[in-house]
Amino acid sequence: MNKLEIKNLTKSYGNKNANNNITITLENGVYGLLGPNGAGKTTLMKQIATLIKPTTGEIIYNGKNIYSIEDEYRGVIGYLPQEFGVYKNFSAKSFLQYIAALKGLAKREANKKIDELLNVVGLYDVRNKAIGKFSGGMKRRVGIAQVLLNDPKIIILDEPTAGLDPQERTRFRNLLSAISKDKIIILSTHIISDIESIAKETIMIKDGEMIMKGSHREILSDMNGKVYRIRTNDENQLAEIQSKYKVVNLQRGIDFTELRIVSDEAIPYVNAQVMEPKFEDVYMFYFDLENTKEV
Amino acid sequence: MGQLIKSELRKMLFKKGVLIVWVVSLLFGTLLIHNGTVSEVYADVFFKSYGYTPIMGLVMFMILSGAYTLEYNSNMSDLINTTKNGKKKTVIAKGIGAGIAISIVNLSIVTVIYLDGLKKVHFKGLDIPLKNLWYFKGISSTLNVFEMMLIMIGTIIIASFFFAQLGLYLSSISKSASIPFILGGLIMGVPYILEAVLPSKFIVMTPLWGMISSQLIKHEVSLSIMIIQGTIFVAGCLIFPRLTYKAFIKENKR
Repeated sequence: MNKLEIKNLTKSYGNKNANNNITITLENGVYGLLGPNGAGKTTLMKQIATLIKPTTGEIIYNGKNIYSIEDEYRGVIGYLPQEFGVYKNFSAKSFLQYIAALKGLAKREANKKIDELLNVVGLYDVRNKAIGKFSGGMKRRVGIAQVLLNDPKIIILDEPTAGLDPQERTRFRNLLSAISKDKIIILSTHIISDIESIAKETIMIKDGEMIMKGSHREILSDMNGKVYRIRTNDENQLAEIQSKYKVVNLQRGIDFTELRIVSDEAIPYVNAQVMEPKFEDVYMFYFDLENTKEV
Repeated sequence: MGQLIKSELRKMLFKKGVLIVWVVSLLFGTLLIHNGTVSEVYADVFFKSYGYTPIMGLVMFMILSGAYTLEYNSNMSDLINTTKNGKKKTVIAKGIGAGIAISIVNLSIVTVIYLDGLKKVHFKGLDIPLKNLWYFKGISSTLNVFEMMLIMIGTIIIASFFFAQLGLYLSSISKSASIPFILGGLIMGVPYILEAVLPSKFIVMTPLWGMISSQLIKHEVSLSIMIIQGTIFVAGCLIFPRLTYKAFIKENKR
């Protein structure tokens, strides 16, 4: 069993805390990291990936501080950065051979693993083609393959499905679910449906602080009674609702306009109906609308 | 390590822009040597070998300037630094790879000039003393043409490693490839451009003259200067990679 304990983690840049006193314990399974831009998700992931050192606090892997077992720890992590540019003049195979060498894999073992992973991500037939000629989604798949080269125990994925089409996203989710049994997978994304479909637990971050961690059921139950649907054809009421409440969705129909609202307080409209919360409601409740990129 | 060096060589050399400039510089190098007597041709070979160094510098810093900025701009530096061997071996692999790449480029250019001259004199007269060539007129050295060519090949290889480490360091501390390109070019090119202005005491100590060692022979520098030149090269090859390592593993480089 893998165990990653993040204890009182703070990362400061001058007077600003990018992460503030975060404490989480992670065990095998997929964890979704959810938060708006600038919330501190990438900073947290970079600290877990040993790219930046915490200002205070520590990260413990299986009982040992990761900086006391730096090389050993790097041998068990797989990291996919948010913006990932590959070398245009490398083929998918030669790029993976390079990463395998960085990860310390022996040549024979590496070549076997590379062929296997190229099949998994559906790039085996184009393995010798220059990556510069790949589409964005194909490049992303090369990135995903490199993560898995060393059979990592901790996988850190920063916006891994950005640029993937729905079919590729489904394939990727299935892959993550299949390998998550004996791994800790930390997945940062704006795509709520990715988190909804594969994450065991969701960690919500805002302004550098962890505001919630729990299973979907726990997080959604916390939203019970806070989600409303209102159908109206009164434009004045519509304008009033939009100015007073967080509107998750607004759909104009032929006979009426339907609004989905999240609110901590009871809604004083007779036509308001309490609804079952969805994950996008949670996002809207805690974060701002402009940060909802895709649901 | 072999795979890492091979990959670094591929990253640096196999770029369209680099390959085009390199090939053009080789082609142009075949046009430099004039016909004449054997001694005139050899004098021209050494004269043009030094005269062609700006082109060498151009190809060299085209290769080196993007070596680290490429990693930073593509975010590959983050990926590399999370791997087991990345932090420790990337700087070494880049250093060796760049040294090999620059040596290949510089030697290929000088070899083209040598071969052009040698073909013109049907490979004759390699034992002619340097002092008999107009370019080395008045020197007391007993070296002959062949020996000078061999020495230059040796110093070009050593200096290529030095310039490689310098260029890599400049690239590692820069956000854009243009800065190491300009800075590196200036460091290399200062003695070439300002030869008439700068004191000879300074010029003889520059890495460019250490690389094109025929210049040191032509100006009859003392043994102590040659030792200082050697020390500069060795120190550069040891110090620059350490500074590069520090820059490469620094947090928030971008």
